This record gives sequence, structure tokens and C-alpha cells, in this order.
Amino acid sequence: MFKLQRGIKKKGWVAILVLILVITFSAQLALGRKATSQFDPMVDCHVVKEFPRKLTVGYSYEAEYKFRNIAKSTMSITVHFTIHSDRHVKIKSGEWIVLITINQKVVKCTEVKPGVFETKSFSVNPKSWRFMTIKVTLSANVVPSNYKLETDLLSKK
Amino acid sequence: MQRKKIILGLAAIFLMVGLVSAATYTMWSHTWSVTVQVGATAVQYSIITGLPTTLDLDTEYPLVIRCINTAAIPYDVKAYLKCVGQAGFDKEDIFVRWKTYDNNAGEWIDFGGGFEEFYLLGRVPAGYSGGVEGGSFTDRAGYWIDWDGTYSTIGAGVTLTHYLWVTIYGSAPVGAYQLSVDVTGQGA
Repeated sequence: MFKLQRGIKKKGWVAILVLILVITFSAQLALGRKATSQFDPMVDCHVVKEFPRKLTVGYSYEAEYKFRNIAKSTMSITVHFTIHSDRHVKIKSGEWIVLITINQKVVKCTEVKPGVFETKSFSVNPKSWRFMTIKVTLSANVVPSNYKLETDLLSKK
Repeated sequence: MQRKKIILGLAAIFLMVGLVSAATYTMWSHTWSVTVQVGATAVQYSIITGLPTTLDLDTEYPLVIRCINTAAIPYDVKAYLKCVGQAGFDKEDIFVRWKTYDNNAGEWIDFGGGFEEFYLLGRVPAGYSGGVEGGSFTDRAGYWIDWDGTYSTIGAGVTLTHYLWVTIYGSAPVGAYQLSVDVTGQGA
């Protein structure tokens, strides 16, 4: 009898733990969706210079941005730069070379997936401006097509 | 009881960490549409000194060609030489000395046999020294010859000046000749 009660209690704790795990993952999924769909006004960003509309294989181009943290606390920011194409879907790693600078200093940038680049996070103090350049170099393997260049500023605050 | 506390504590920590780590927000997003096209050519050539329209036999004539890789990446390029002559013209009737200057580095390119050596094509004159034999032309149809080079890399923004000295020997038939140089390449 004693053993049976203990067994039931043990199962109860396991069930609570499983429930907590389910709630956690659900919350993560919900917040993840929210993160990609909502825009937070805590960053004021401006495009200073756009990429040209026509890019040539083998050449480099640069876009310039400036942004500031308009929140009251320091923010940790990560830059995502993504190259999409509806026609040429299979972009291969290394076709595009991306260099990102913040205030004229090169930030470590990794191609996390083919055509998707991510910088390491960096801190931005309240009200301070950051000047960012994104330089793309098109290798000879880039397939001529229509592309979309997407720049995202993400915060893990 | 102690175990329960530990389990509850771990679960609470896991919940907190999970919720905090999930809080990644998009602060700003911008999409720009572009069209990628292929340029006419990244490596541009200009003739500094061309061959004269009339060449005397057994006389050496300079041909100077400057090439610039205007791209931001290295290019692998190779040259194809073709000389169309008269019936009886073959690979033993021509000699080309070739030397390349790297304008960026400010030095002559070593073809492998030593610094400032010439690259030699065709029939090398007896007793000639100071060059690396690059092979010979191939006889074609009894009146024209050609030579297909191997790829070499020209770095981004590099300017190379090619100096070729061309001699048609007295063994060649006289008449009209046509010398052409084709360069093909691909981004490296």
C-alpha cells in the first residue's frame, strides 16, 4: 500500500514537470511567432544609402544605415541580412560575401544558412547612434536573377 | 521532500530561461529588391602596342597588351593564340617571347624558370637562353596554327602588362597573315 501511494505521488510530479515543459515550449513558440510578426519601436533606423537596383556578378556594393536606441535601457542588437530569390531558390553558401561594419569597425558575421548572415550581438546605449554599412560582394557563381535583400535588426532584450 | 524541491526549482529555472530566451524581437526590417546581371567582362584588355600591318620575315615585333581585373574577386584567365597564314605555314615558322609585368607589385612575373625569364612559344632559336619553353603551337589544316594556354589567376584590381615579341621566320611562306588573341576567364 505504501509503495503504491509513493508510486502515484511520483507519477504526479512527473506529470507536473511534463506540464511545465509543455507550457514552456508553447510560450516559446508563441513568443517566437510574435517576435517575427511585430515591430518594436525601440530602434529608430534610417537608410542612408541603398544598394543599387542593378548588381553585376563579380562586383561589390555597399548600403549604409544609421540607427539609435530610443529605449531607456541598453539594448543588445543582432543584425540579420538575408538574400532571397523567388526564381533562384537554391542559393549556395559562399555565393554572396557579406561584410558588416558598425561605426567603421567590422563585426563578426556568419553565414548561418546559405544566403542568411547573422552578426554577433552588440550593445547599444540609450539614445546613442550607430552607423552601419553592409557590403555585399557577388562571387562569379551568383546566378543572375531577381533578388530581395532583407536587413533586420533583432534585439534579445 | 528534498527531491521535490530540487525538481520544482529546476522546473522553475527552466521555465524562466525558456521564457527569457524566447524574447527576441524584430526592431526594424527593411527589404530591397535588386536584379543581378552578368557584366560584359570583369577583365578588360587594351592594346598598348599593336603589330604592324606588314611584317618582315626574321624580324622581331613587339605586341604589348595591358589587362586589368576590375572585379572585386580574382579571375582565372587563359589566352588562346591563333595565327592564320598561307599554305605551308606551320609551327616551326614562328617564335614568340613572352614576358609579363605586374603593375601592382612593380615586378616581372616569374614563369618558373627564374626571375624575369621569358616564356617561349614556337621554334626557339638555336643557342637561345633565358627563357622557359612553354610548348609549341599545333599545326592545323596545313596553313594555320594555334596554342591554348593554361589558366592563371589575376587578383582583384590587379593590372598586368603582357609583352610579346613575335618573329615569323624566313621558312614561312609570304602573304597575308592574321594573328588573334582570345582570352577567356571565370571568377575564382
